[in-house]
Amino acid sequence: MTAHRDSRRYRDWGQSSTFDVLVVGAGMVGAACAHALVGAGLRVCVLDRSGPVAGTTAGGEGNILVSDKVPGPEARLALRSVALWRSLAERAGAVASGPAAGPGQSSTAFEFEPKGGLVVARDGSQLAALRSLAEGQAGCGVDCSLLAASELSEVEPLLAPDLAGGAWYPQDCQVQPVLAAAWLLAEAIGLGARTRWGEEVLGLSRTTVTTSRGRIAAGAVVNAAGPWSGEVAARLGGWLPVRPRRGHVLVTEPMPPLVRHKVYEADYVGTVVSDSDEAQTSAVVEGTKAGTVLIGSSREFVGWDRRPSLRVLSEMAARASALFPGLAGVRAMRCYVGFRPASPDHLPLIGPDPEVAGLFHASGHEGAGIGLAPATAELITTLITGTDPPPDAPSFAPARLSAHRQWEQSYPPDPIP
Amino acid sequence: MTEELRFRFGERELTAPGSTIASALLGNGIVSWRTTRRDGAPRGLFCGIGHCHDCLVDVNDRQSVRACQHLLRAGDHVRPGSVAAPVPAAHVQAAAEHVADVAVVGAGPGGMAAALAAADAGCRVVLIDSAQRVGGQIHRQPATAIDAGGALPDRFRRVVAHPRITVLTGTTVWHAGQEGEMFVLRCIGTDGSETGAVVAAQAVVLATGATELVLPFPGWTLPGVITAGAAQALLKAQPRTPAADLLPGPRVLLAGTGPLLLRAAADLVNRGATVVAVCEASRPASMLSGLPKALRHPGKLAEGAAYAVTLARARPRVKMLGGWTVTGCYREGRVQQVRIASVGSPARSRMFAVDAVAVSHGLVPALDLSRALGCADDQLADFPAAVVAVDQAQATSTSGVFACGELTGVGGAAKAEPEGEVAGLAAARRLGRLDEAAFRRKARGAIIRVRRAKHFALLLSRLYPLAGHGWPDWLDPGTVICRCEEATLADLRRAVAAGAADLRTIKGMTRCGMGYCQGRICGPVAQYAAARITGRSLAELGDLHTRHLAAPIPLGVLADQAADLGTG
Repeated sequence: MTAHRDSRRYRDWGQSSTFDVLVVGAGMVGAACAHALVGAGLRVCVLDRSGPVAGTTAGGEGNILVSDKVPGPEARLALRSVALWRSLAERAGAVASGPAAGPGQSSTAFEFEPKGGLVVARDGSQLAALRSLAEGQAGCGVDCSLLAASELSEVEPLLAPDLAGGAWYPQDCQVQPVLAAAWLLAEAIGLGARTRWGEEVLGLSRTTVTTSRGRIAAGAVVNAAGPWSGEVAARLGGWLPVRPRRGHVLVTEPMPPLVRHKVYEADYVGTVVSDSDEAQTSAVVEGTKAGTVLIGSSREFVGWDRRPSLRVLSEMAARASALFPGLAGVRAMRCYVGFRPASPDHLPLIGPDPEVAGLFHASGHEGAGIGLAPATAELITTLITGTDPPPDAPSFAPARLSAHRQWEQSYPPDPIP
Repeated sequence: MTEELRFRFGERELTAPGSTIASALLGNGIVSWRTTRRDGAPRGLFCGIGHCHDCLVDVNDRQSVRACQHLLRAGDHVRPGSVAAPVPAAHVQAAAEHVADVAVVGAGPGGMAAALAAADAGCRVVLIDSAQRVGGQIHRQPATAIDAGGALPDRFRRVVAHPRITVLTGTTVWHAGQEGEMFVLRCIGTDGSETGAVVAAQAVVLATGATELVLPFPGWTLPGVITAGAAQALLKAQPRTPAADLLPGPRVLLAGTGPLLLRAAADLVNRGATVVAVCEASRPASMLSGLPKALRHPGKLAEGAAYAVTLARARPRVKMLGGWTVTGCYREGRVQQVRIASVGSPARSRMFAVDAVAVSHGLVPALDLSRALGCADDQLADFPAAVVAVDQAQATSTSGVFACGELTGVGGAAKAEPEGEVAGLAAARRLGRLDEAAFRRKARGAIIRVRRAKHFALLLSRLYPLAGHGWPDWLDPGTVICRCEEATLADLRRAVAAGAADLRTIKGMTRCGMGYCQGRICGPVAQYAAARITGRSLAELGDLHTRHLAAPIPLGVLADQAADLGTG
C-alpha cells in the first residue's frame, strides 16, 4: 500500500467497479472517511441512496466540541479531531478571518469558525458539576477556564445577569456542515474517489456488495450511514445497535453578531447521556456567519417522525431566551429536525464488525458526528490499512457491545424511510 | 378623501395619504429603502403582498417589518431596513382564544364563499386573513377603508356583518396543527405586533391563495422591478390616485407569461399609466390554437376582449409583443432601462426606457398550512408548483380539512368562489349541520361551476407553457436566484455539479431558500432551474414548500406556547 498516490493512476479504476473500500453514506462521516482513505492511496467509492449530504449532516448545527466530552477516550478523540479540522480548514483557506470580516467578505469554503464554547451554569449545583467535569477534561488535555458569574458578561455581553458562573472552552469550533461535507467529498473526488448516488446497498457476500443497481466489488466496506447504519449493518449481515435520536433546531432572522461563541447550558451534557425516551431540551445558542442564530437542543426517541413538536420548540425558545433575554424579541424564521445516530452507551461505534469480515462501522456519534468525523476517518483508515491503531481503538470497537445483543430485540432497526 | 399623514423617513419630513408604508414611500418618489446583507444591493417593493420580505423597513421601535403590509400612522419614524439588534422583549399580549366550528384561512373569493356557505348552514365560523381587509388579491380593498366591506361585490358584503362569522384580519397563521379532536391555528399580527390569536375549530377550510412566480433575469432585483400582482395591489390600495403616483413611475413594461399580464396591463392603462409594452413569452400562433375550445367560455372571452380593447385604445400606444421575454434590467439603484429579446432568435433584442417593470410567470399555490395539516398534494409535471389534492367536495386527504381556490389548482375567482361554496357546505355537512341530501341540493350548482372553471383554467395553462423560452440557458451565471440570500445561478449549478440530488441539499449548499421568505419566491425558481439543468423531473427534485413555522414568530411568543400545550 503506497502512502503517496498519483490521482491519474486511478482514474480508470472506477469503471471496473472494483474498489479497495466502499463507503456507504455520503454525510459528514462518510465524506471524511472517503477523503482519508483516498488520501492513504486506496481506491474508494462513496455510495449514497440519495446523494451527497442529504441526511443527518444537513439536519444539525455543525458543532466541533471538546467541551461536552466525557474525560477519557472520547475527549481524546475529540481533541484529535479538532486538530484535524484545523488543518483541513487551513488547507481549504477556510479559517475565519475574525470579526473584522463583515458580510460579503466571507471567503471561507465551509465557514470554519474557531470561536470557542461557553458553558453556563444556572445555579450552584450545576456549577459544581461543571467544575468537576472540567477538572477531568483538563487531565485529558482539554483547555478550560472556569469563569465567575461576574466574568460571563466579558465573554458574552448579552447573557442573562442571574447565572451562577461558567466554563470557557477555547478549542470548541463550528463549521457549516453541508458545505464542509461537500468540500471533503469534492477533495476526495479530486483525488480519484468515485461516487454512486441514488443507489442502495442490499447485501454483502465476501467481497461483493449487491446494490439496487448492480454489484460492487470492494475489499472493505465502511458503514457510515448515520442513523440508518443499523439497517445497513443488518443488510450486510452484521449488527450495529444504532437508533435515531431526534433533535430540533430553530433558526432566527439574521442579525448583527450578538452571540459571539457557542453558548450552552451545563445540563446539556446530562441530556446527552440520558437514556430517557422522553423529549429533553437544553439551551444551545450560537451565531452563524450568515447572521442567523441557531437554537437547540432537544433529544427524543420518536422513530422517524419528521413533524416538529411545537411543545419542544416552545421549550427551546424559552430556555434560549432565559439565557439571552434579548432573544425574546427576535423572530424564529424556521425550524428543522434531524436524526442523530445514537449508540446505547453514548460512545461512537468505530471499527470492524465483530462477525462480518471486511465490514467496518463508522457511526453512533449521536450529535458529535461533525466534530468527530476527521478523527473517526483517521481511525478507520488505520484499521483498514492495518497500521497500528491508537490505544483508544478498543473503546470505540463495536464488539464492546456484543453483550448488549438483546438491545436489538427491544429496538429493532428502523426501516429506511 | 383621506387626509395626509405626516411621517419621517430617515431625516426627511414627508406626508402621504393613509396606506401602507410601501405606498407612502413610493408616493414620495422613494423606490428603495433597504440594502442587502451580502452585496449591499438596493431593494424595495417586489411582491407587494407580504410573501417576499424584500421590502423590510424599520418603523419606530420595530425592526424589519414588511413595508407592503404595515400601515402608516401619523408621526411614524420610518428608517431604512437594517439588520438590526434585537429589541428587548416586547410586551406579549395574551392571545385571544376563539373556538369555532369552522376556521377559514384566507378571505379571498374562495374563503369568503366558504365562510358564508358554512355560516348560512348554521356553523360558527372564524375567517382569518393576513391583509387588513377581506377581499383577497382580486377584491383587494384599501387597507384604510372605513367601511370594511365597502368595495366588495354585494354577495360578499355579508361576510363582515354575518352574526356567525368572526373576521380576524391583519392576522397571520404561524402554526397549524391537530390537538386532540380540534384543529388549532396559532396566529400573530401581520404588522409584526405580538397581538396573537389561537383559533380552535372542528373543521378547517384552506383558501390561502398563491405566490407569483417570476423567472429571474439579470437585474430583476433592482428596485422598480415588481410582480404584476404587486402593481395591481398598489393600484387597489388607493383607488383614486393615478398610477404614476403609486408605482415607481409612469412608464411600465409588463413581461412574463400568462393571462395575468393582460389584466394587469389593462388595469394600469385604466389608471393612467403609460404601458410601453406587454411582452408575452408565449408565441401568438400557439395561443390562437386554443381559441376553438375557448369559445365554450363566452364570459371569459368577453373579459379578455375587454382587456384587448382597453389596450388597443390606449395612447400612447401599447406595444403587444408575443414571443418576447425580458432579458435584463439596468441602471444603478433602480430600473431605468429594460432589454427584451425574441424567444425564437435571442439575438433580436430591444431596449425600452421605463420606470417600472412588472413581471409574472404564473402562480404557485401557498402550501404552508396544507402541508402542516398533512394534506397530500401533487407536483405538476411542467410547472414548479404542487396543488392540494381534493375530492368533489373539496375534502383533502386530512379528514376535516378542506381546500379551495388557487391551492387546488390555479383558476382565478371563477374557480375559487364555487369551490369555496362547496368547501363551506362540505364542512357544514361534516359537522352535522347539513344532511347528505341538503348538501347535494345546495352544492350541485357550485360543483358544475367548478367543473366549467377548471376546464377553462386547463385551457389557459396550455396557452401559456412555461417551457420553451430557453430559460435558464441564456441567463448570466451571476443572476441572483434567491433574493434573500443572494444565491446565484452559478451557486446552484455548482451544487448540482457536486451531486446535490434534491432541492433540500441544494438549499444546504447554496443557502437558497434560507432567508426571510423561506423559499416562497426562490423555491419554485430553484426547483425549475435545477430540473432544466439536470433533466430530472420536478417531483424528483422536491420542493421547499414545507414550512413548519408559516411566519416569522418572536421567540418570546413561541416560548409562551409550552404552558398552553401541557406535556402532550
